[in-house]
Amino acid sequence: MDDNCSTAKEKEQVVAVEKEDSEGVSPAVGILFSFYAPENVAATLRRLCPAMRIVFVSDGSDGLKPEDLEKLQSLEILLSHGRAIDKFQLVYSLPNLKWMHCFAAGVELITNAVQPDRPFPGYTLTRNASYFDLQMAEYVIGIILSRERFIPEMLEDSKNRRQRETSYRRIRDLSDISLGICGFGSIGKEVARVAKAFRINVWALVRTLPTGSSRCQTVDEYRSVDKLGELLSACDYVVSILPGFKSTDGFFDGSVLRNCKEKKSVFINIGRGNVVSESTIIHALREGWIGHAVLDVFHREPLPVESSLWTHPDVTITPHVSGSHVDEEKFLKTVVDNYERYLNGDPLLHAVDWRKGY
Amino acid sequence: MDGHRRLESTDRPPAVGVLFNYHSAVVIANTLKKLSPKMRIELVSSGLDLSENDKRKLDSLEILFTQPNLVQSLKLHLLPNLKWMHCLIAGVDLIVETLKSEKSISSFPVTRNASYFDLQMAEYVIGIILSRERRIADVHENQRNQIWDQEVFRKFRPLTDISIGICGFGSIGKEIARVAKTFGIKVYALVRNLPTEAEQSPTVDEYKSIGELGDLLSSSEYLVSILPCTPSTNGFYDGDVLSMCRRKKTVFINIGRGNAVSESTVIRALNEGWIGHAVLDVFDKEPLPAESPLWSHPGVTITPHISGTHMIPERFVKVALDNYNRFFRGESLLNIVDVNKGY
Repeated sequence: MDDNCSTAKEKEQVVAVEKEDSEGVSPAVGILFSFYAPENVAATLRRLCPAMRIVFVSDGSDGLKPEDLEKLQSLEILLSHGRAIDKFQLVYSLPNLKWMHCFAAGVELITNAVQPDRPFPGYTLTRNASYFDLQMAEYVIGIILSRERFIPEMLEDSKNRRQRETSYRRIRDLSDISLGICGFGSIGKEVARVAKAFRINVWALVRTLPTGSSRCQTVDEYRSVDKLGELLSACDYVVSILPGFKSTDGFFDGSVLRNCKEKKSVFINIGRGNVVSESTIIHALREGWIGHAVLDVFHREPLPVESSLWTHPDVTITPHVSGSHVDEEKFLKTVVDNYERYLNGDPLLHAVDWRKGY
Repeated sequence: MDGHRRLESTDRPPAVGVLFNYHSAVVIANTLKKLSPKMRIELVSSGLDLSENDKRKLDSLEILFTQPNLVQSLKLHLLPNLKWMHCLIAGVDLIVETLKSEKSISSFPVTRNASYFDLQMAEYVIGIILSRERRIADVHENQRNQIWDQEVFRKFRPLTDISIGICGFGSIGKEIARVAKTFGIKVYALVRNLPTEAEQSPTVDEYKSIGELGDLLSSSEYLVSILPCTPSTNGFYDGDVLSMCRRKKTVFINIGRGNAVSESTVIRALNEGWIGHAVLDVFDKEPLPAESPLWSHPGVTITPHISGTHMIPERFVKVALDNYNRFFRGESLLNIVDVNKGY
């Protein structure tokens, strides 16, 4: 039974509730993940949606016990995370599941497990799209402003009682710089919107060039994937928000970053680590193709201590923090909204297209 | 004074004198020439040492592009033939001081570079806010120690959770409000006269009059002062005013002028826990003297008056050029300095 129930009485209640379930009361919502306190999530959900019945499965840290798996397989609704689903290989193992919510924007750990010779899983998969958008735009602009206005240097100088006025006056007008956004989904669009407020020139890399009214007002230049080189050579900053699909593996590997040589672009990766290898980054820096790399995502996370990226003078490492579930209520809102829709038989928000992966 | 004597129509437009030493006068003159080839430019001098020839040149000028401290020290407002003076700097308190003390209100318009600095100063403010909220300064330290610290770096406040109080709501303040709103920051603006509903800007959540300063201070995570240097802003934040920041331990950012708050006030406010930090870009004496206690206080960040800068010549001369065209077309000029307002 559920180890997280603190009293025998509560345990009875959980059992009792599950019995009621089979008699047509609203379905239980299972929780399986460990990346942040599941108890907090349960408590917040109960507060936001008292009608929701929550069943704790596991936080997955001790593996999956047979009784946990049994519970999972009985569930109609599951809140989880790509890492847990991937770790326990659950994509095709949940016969009663009708809705799975993944607590992330990028759900490739789940969709990558889809096998070509099998039909798509029968449940709807939803994700936290849009929640991270503005936070990640803050990160990108924060990085750009800190570099363009020498903020870390000024803070350091202040501590050391130094004044280097002339250096800090040698700034560029942000309307003279270009930002290339690779991966133009809701996060990319938000980055474009915020960049435009500073009059930065915005380039967007897309798979299909938009026409007429589907063009974003905040984008100055669109380029399709085959014209990646043009975007790279025009942009002072290149930000990758590409998802971690098999199709984007090594997207920036090889010599494509040589195109950045024109502007000695600063390469920022806030999408997924699979798009560029460590050796590509190091090579690109050594060759003077790119001027700096700001990396928030990696092939392996946490970034192993042996990685030479840690000590490279032209690399900035942030530990996968461009987006975070800080505002729990807001973060869980999608789940609460979708739970109501689910009960009413309405289409769910931010449903993932199994074919596309997002 | 808005009235100005129109130039008599001649075949040759009058020369524009450039007397400037804040930045390269030669670059300014060349940029003007490039953007307005028909303009006749008289590069007077790039310094305070004027030769007899320089003085003769100045006396003959009808149009002068210059800077406030030179107006003050060389009494340029008294030049006999001047019909329009443009100040290539946004802060004109020295000019206002000069004009008032001389009791000779010039009969020609004095205009200034206002809008050039606006976005740069908004960049500075948002840059400072983001570097604090997302701990960008700590990133390098962590990386040096090879620490993967998600705990700390993921516990940030999204900007939608914070409020900014903007004191001094001219073109710079309005630009800061616009950019802040892009991030969903809640914006409070301190104004002398509350606008009517029609006059209100969509980028301001709440306007506060000077009497409501306390409300603004107690509601803002960040207080940005862009108050100009006028007699009414002397010591604006001195005394116990900043105690009203206690609730949010506001971060105080001064990018206006140093007269608004004394050093001892800043230090007291920090030590009393009224404000959480002070980011100061302007001071009573600049460069900030080495003996100033602000340097050693851990709650103070000093930046050397760089929130707005004029290094891009084309942008720098934009208002001057616009006004040059307006002047000859008889249209009203942009950014006329109002001696009574002080800016």
